Amino acid sequence: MAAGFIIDASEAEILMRDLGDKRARIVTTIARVTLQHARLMKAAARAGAPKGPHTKGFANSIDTRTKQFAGGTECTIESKHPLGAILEYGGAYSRPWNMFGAAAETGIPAWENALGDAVADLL
Amino acid sequence: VTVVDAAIARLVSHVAAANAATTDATQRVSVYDGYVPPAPTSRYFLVWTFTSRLDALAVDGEFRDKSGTFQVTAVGSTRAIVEKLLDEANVALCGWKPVVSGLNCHPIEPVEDPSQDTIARDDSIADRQVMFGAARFRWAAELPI
Repeated sequence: MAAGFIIDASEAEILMRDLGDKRARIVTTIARVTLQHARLMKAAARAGAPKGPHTKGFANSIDTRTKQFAGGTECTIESKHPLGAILEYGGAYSRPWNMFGAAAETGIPAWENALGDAVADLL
Repeated sequence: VTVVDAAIARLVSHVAAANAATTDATQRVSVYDGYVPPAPTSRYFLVWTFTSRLDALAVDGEFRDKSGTFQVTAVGSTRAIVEKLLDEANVALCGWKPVVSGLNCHPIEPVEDPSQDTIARDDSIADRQVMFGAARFRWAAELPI
């Protein structure tokens, strides 16, 4: 079962529709900042992942998948490792590692701030 | 007392009435704090606390903005029981404002995360069916000036 989370910049890009000439540069900037922060969140999730003998290879299975379409950029930070969900959320007895939750909790506000700063610089 | 301690007390009081109303021991719900005892009840909430953080307030830049997350794992013998327990945890905690000395707490919010909607069997338990599901909650509070 896959575990992970999505950061979706399409809402920010929708707001930029009416900016004419600047739109292309802003959309490129949003995509760049989103990709950069998705990589940071992936690194944070990997750093928080268990690395014992029973979970060998799990940290490296955490990866970023990016979809770029007309409406925006969407990055998914996830692991398709079979232990992904049980490690993230724990079980009936076992502790949750919360590596995706922690990465999102700190990474998403930083990404939103960076998006705001980058776009403000262009306007 | 921390915010999560208050949340655990809230869950305990929420299930207490239902526990008092039943004579069937298999329907009793326990609340465990980060540890499951050797002989747990068949239905329980297991609460896990994650690290909290202290941020600067936007208004004055002072580091007084405290927040954190915690997880409630609901455990039972069937999917329906786990779903009902998760509903009860959400009813008890979402929108509830903890009262904690030294903190001005905001209402508890659910963490939106589509992955956590899964209710699954715990495959590490071989001799019987044990199902579980998780709900995460975010708390936020301001330290007094």
